[in-house]
Amino acid sequence: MKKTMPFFLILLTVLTIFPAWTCFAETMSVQVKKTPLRNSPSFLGKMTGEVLYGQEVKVIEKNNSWLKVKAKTGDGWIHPSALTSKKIVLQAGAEDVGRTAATGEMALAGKGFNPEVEKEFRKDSKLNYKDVDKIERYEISNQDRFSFIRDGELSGAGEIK
Amino acid sequence: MKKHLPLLIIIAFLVSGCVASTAEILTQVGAAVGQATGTISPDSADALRKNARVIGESSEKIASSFEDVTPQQEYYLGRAVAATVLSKYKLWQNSEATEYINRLGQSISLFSARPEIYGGYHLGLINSDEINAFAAPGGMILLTRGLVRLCENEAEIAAVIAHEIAHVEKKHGLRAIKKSRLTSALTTLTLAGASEAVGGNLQKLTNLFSESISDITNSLMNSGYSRDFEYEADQRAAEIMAAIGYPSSSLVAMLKRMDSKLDPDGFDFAKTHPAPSKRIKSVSSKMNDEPIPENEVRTRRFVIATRDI
Repeated sequence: MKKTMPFFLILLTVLTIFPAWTCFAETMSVQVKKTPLRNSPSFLGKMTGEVLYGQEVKVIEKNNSWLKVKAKTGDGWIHPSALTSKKIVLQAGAEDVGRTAATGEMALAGKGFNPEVEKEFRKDSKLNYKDVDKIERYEISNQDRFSFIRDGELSGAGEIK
Repeated sequence: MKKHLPLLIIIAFLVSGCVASTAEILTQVGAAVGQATGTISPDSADALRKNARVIGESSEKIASSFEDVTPQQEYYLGRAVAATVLSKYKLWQNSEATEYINRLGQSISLFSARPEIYGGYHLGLINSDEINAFAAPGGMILLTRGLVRLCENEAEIAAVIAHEIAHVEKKHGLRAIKKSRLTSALTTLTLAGASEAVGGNLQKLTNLFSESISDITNSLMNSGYSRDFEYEADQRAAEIMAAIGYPSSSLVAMLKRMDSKLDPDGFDFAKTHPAPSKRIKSVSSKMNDEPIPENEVRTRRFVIATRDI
């Protein structure tokens, strides 16, 4: 037993520290349908890649409230409103019930009010989704938004350079 | 050494404080999977879950609030709310005016606390003389022609849109869903994945979805949000306007004009919002009265876009 004591202590230390260490590693999930990875911390930063809803990223730097992240598709800057510290589960399972109970955090379940439910809902409701789709097609690029603000001589232009 | 290993791991977990949560996970998962797969009865599953609750208080947090609605769920709820509004009112198909309010609204959204939202912000115009506006969860905003007609310049439309964006930012629509309904919906969502019988859950979810839409549209179109939500949206609107560079006093100008035009017994803003005079009083502390210089581009684009309003 004496010989095993150092090993025991090392194992004990590792297992004690490991859970705490993983809590501090800043892993976040993408909470928008898709968002660009940019080459600078600005809405006007050039797009270098893209991340999708539910994908996990690691925060590696902060600047002016923007976050630089490491994603599967590469590194880049993302606005924090596109990220959540909650885990987004695209296919909820029993383990999520367990995690919810264990962490006190709701794992954001992917099953739910999703396209499948919308399809089912539309079968009976006959609501005007056609015009909703029409409105959704109005998408103004960030460059156009910036031009709109700048051409109107609004002071906010200085904030998003 | 080998024979001590399992013991050592257990001791280590005990020391690192994992034991309660581990036991809880096992019990909760056991209950969920057991019930979903039919290997244990619902009663036994309930008993197991009760046991898990005794082990750790944190499981109480399964009970849900609007904050647990995922951005994706918020988006689909919002689409259904907008579809309901657009079934009662007709969309005004004027591409020039619609393009303009989207340029304006999507620019303003960059200065909100939620510039990035699941499906983005999109604005539409309703073909109605009513003075009314609707912000569906998830960023779909609808303004009536009657409301836009009341605006004398771009800053005043900006005030109206900033108020609606504030409703989205603060998730006021989601907060209109009855709490019991939300708890029921989110519990179903979490358990859905553990079950093979997704079909039954889909019908249950669709019913809950439909009822949640009714909660939101009732607030939006009939009873209105709580007065506190309206005052909060005005205050955030003033801040958002200051951030992009419009004078927040335009919000007050707009409210004063509404006060003179609204029919107190009308079915529009008069019914769903506090009196404009009260709103002006509430927002006065957030006011930035500094006027901004006239700008030809701003004036011209407003006049052109709203000429048929």
